[in-house]
Amino acid sequence: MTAALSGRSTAVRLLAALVVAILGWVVPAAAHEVRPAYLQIDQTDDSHYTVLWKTPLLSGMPLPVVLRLPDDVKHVVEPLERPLPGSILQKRVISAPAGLAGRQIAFVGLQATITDVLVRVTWLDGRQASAIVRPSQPWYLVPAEQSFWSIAWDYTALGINHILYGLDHLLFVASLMLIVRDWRVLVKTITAFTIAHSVTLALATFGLVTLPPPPVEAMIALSILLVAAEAVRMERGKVSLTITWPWVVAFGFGLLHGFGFAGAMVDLGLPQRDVPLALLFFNVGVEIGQLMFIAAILAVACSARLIFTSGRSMRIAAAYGIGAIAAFWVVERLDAIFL
Amino acid sequence: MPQEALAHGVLKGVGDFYAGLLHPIVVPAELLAIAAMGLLVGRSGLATCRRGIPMLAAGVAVGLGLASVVTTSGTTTPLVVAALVAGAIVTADQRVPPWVAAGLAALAGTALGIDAAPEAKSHIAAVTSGVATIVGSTALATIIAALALRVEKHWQHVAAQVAGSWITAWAMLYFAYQLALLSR
Repeated sequence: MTAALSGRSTAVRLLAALVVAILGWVVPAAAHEVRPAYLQIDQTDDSHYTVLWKTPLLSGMPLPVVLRLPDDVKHVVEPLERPLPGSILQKRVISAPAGLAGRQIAFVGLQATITDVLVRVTWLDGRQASAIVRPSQPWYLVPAEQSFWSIAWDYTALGINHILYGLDHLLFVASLMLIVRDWRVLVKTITAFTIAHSVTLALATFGLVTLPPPPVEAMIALSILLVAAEAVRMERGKVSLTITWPWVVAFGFGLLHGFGFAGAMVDLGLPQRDVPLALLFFNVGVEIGQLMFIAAILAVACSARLIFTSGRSMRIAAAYGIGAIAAFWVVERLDAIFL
Repeated sequence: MPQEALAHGVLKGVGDFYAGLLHPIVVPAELLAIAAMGLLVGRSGLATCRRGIPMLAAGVAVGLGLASVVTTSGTTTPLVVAALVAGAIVTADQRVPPWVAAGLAALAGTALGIDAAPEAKSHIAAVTSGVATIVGSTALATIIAALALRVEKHWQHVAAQVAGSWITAWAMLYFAYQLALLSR
């Protein structure tokens, strides 16, 4: 007994030592320099810009990083250096006849440090761009002004990308398709889902309605679980609101899924002046992605139905599969909220 | 062969699921084998479809499992052999007994599974990618088989035979190229 206790005590001590050793190894590695360098560029007229370049002092030494502007940029006012507590501020005025949009600003030597650079660019018309430059990629590409088509293309692609990688939204659509058997009802159901998520996506993007993302994500998982359960009930000959009017349920839960899309869109960032345009094309992209998914599912389902007679078993298996994944997400997302 | 070079890590930056799902579609030898098998089982009738497609899926799963213990190089040849045989049968407008088609589908599926084995960073990524490959290859074979099964009109028969002849021709070109490489 005593030997067992002694052995356990030794094991605990060894474990504690291991934890301390790991912490000792990890913590210094994670001790990243918390004060980033800062670059601010403000356009003052068509070809002139003021540049603020603030670098932190590390143990009293200046950051060994040199700001390199595009080759055709000329100094109108040479860099004026001013020491501040813990940092050095450099101010200059530059002339860039070809503009800075689409040009690269390099931070020579940054790759040898662990310091980030926060970059902010403001144009005359009020547009702003900002980014954090990491030592692993020590340059900043000033974004070019986006045209209508560029915004339309970018946000449509983002919308398609988001829905095709958003497995929860796809599984919700798939579970609705297990319930709907008629083409007209399918069109009605998908349209209701589209209208609903478009409404909440717009409301959330414009900041008119906001919901915290974690509960929304948990509710989205729950919505998939509920519709998958309804699909199983339907196969067992039961009747319910979801089975009779799937488009009503699609609309209700679609409102919820719109908040999920909005969270993703806000994360992606919005062009300052073109929020409605970006929103429109993001939504268009989501619809295109959704239709691509529905077309693929219908093609496989119709083909399988032609070959295999056990359609009911396959639908039940699919509903259980979707339900199991959704149940896992519900637990996982609730865990993230409460624990 | 270009497809051999492309066979692994063919789709970068699309995530493990889509890399696995699209692998059988973007690697020419795999696509050809699936198309040939789909056409063969579809043209051979419903009973052959019902055995051939599950055998293809099972073969892919076995191949993915085997990939961890056998070498993944040189799997293009069995894929192309399967495509050549199936394409020739379709071109000749012949039907095969269900067990023959099922065996060929299992062979093609196994070669495909080995060929498509993911170079994943983690166990979860490998499983995700592997499951997606099974889903993608089975779904594609099912769609092609269903289309071949519905062939009724004369021009549709001709179109199916033309497709079979193209598959056969491509497979023969592959072997001719391999012979040319050996003779150098």
